[in-house]
Amino acid sequence: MSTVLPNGSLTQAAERKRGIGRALVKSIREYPMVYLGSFIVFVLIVVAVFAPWLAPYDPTKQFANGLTPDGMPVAPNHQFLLGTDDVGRDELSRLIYGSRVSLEVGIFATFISLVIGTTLGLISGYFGGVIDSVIMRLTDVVLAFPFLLLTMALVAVLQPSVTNVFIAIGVQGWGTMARVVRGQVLAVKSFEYVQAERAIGASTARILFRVILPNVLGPVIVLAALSVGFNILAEAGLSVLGIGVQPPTPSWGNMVSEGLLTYRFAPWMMWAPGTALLIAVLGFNLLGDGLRDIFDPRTTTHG
Amino acid sequence: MAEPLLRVKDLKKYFPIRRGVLQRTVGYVRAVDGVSFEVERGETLGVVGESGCGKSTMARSILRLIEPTAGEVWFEGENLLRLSGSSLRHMRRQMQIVFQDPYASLNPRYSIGYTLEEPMIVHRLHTPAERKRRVRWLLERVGLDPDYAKRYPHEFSGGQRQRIGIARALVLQPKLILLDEPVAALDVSVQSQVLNLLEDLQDEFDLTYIFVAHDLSVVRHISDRILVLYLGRMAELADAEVLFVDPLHPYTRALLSAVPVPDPDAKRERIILRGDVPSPANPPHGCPFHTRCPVAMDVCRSEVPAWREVKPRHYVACHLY
Amino acid sequence: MLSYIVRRLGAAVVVLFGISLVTFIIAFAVPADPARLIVGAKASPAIVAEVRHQLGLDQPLPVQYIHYVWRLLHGDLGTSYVYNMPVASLIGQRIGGTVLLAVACWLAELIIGIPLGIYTARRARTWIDYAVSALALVGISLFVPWLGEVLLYLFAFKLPVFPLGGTGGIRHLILPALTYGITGAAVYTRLLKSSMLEVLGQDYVRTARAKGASEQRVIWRHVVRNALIPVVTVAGIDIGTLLSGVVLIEVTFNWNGLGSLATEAISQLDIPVIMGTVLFTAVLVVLFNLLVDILYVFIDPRIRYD
Repeated sequence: MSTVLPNGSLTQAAERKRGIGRALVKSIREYPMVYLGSFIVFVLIVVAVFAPWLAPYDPTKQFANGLTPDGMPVAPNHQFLLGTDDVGRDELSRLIYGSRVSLEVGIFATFISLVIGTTLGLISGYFGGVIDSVIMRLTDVVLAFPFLLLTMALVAVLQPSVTNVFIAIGVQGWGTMARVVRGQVLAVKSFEYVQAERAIGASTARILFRVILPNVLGPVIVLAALSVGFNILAEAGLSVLGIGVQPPTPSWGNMVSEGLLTYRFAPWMMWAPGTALLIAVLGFNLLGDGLRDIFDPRTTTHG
Repeated sequence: MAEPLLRVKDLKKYFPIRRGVLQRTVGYVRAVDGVSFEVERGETLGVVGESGCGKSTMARSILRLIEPTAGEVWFEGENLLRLSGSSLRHMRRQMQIVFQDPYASLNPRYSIGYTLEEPMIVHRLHTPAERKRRVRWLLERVGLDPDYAKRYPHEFSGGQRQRIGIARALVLQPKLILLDEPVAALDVSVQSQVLNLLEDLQDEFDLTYIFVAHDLSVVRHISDRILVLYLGRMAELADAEVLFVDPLHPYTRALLSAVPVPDPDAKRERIILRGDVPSPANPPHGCPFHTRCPVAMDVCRSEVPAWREVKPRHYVACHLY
Repeated sequence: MLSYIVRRLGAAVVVLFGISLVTFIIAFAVPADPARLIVGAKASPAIVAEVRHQLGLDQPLPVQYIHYVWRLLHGDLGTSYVYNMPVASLIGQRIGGTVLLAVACWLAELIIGIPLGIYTARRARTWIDYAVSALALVGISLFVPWLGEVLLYLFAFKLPVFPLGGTGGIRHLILPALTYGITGAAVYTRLLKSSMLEVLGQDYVRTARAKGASEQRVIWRHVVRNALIPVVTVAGIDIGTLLSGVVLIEVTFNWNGLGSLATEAISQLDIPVIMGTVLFTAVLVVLFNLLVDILYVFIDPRIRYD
């Protein structure tokens, strides 16, 4: 087959290309959630990274014509596509810049939980015994705190800032990860090929990281995607409680929170940030749920 | 007489049973309860017993894949149970294992080539090119196409996988291989092929085998001597031919009567054991076999029979002798 | 079984100890000097030192911790810097509102979630099922205060059916409960659906059908009853999530409860009140979970507790 004329290989390449296209269509049909979710996440990242180029104005600039003569926010018009807020700033620009806080907190907090949770879960599951009991009790303690209340306390003590918000969210979010990883390790550990590794003289570190970790990765990725969405909401919740990222830095949580005071006379201030939050979180949840269906065909959410 | 390759002395593995508020240990499952034997260089020792008699636990305890509770395992003048960390890992080069389940014992994420190469990587042997060459050569030795190195376990049948498992055990050029029911999970037609392969490899590489099986017919041809275990204890040990012709322990006789005989006219008394194997958590007093023994006497219920050499090279633990 | 309960109690005590340690460490890490907060910025250093001594802040940390736990065991959560009142009585004043709201929210999510779960399980793989699944995903992704805001805008402002927030009776409760119900129901819908589908595949369901039981009887007597077990578990255990949600609902709807107490305390840096409410709610969660676990021993005979 491959020993044909030069133009033969050309058609082959074209065929392969068409094959890839067809395979792509097929896989989109099979996993629409993953693709839709990835698309949303991708757009979100692009918006956050290129915010300075995408935003029409400086998000903190208070426009003279951004307020009506009697000091009210301006409804959406051709200059301010999403209207202005109660101090005359452009809502669209604030929305675009606000994606940065959400994404930063969502991702970094998840990263912190991921590192702590995976490490403790691996250790707990692999070594068992006293170590396991201690780590699992620690997990119980972390999971016992109502998430938002403890985060409130932590941020209040640490002083609100983007870094402190994601640290506070991250250091508590690892409980579920640790439990899931531990469960997975216990399942993998019972496979004979893990004993086979010991039989050939592999070290504990090698077994943990090269044999067990890859098996744990699937569920961890799913949890991580879902946890980014959850953490974005947690950050927004902190803003509503007044201890999130501090003004004038634009964040979607702060914008929703401003909406609480202004929805009666400026409903556009409420619609935009809430919808943005919904789409962003939905993107990560679609991704997480879709990946779960792939990794574990037994628990399809579609029945 | 030369020092045997492996000397196991009073090996014990008790699994604690925990109960109650503080998870106190209330008893033990005596999976292996004082097993001692020697294995000469180049011989094959068959180990036979019903499922749950502790033979698999014994094999894994010898390799310390499971930590034994007590005992000594001397291999080439070193007590394995005293070794720790890196010296133990180093020692593992000398003794390998082939697992029962060829589906569970190969990592599905590793290609066959990597599975076979990994032991050499772990022990930092050879250059990458030499390792690849050795993998291909080994695949050929166990009767597989060297190009299979690129494939993954799910592409193979049970028999082929078991050949891969055997190749993995050979990679490090060990002296001793523990075969933990290596053919129990295979079709009968494939079993004999794998058994023949094991015999060929033994000759070629001067290997010593401990062959664990739950049925005597499998070990008959491959074994030089056979050890019969019951409830984690030794019942009988003899040369293979002797054991088949002149079994002493009633348990061995019962096992033998279950072995099919090719001659349809052969008349033979079929001994059917009553009841199930008692729980190793609560073994019977006296001889562990007395609850099912067709010829049990009063003494069997009260005293543990001693392990004695009743004929040359023929050991048994039974009050009849 | 008794040993299981005792062990479970022991674990709860360990967790409670951990909680006290965490709150103590966080409170200690506060950069502001509590004594200075009490006497004000203008007080002389001598007075600050005096107050520090009174509060026991000049003693070594482990000693302070032991005193802290000792006081906790006697129900003393400290004294508010701002109100100059025991934190326990502040919590006592507000707890009623939070409990009322939490129960309403909890019922709302069950009332919305469980029927939807049963309904979609019986119509698995139809467009209704897909539509509900999609809605469930949206529900989970909604930001609670925002949904509250939207509902207030639509049903209290544009269509003045309900009050614009505030503490009160049934009319005041409906929008907050609905807000939480919409976001929380999805969890139950999904869980019940998947557990019903699992039960539907069981042999005893096939047996019931083979016996000629009517479909209604099979669904209600055999399937729903068994499928509800995991749902009840989650409903019982998820009180931590409920409390976090209730905090946001309280702030959104201007409801008088623990959440608004904590939020006010944060804006005033009233550390004893912040830590007191956090500790109190955490202990509530642990005790509640303990209760659910122990009740389970009596409810579900299938679980062995050895």
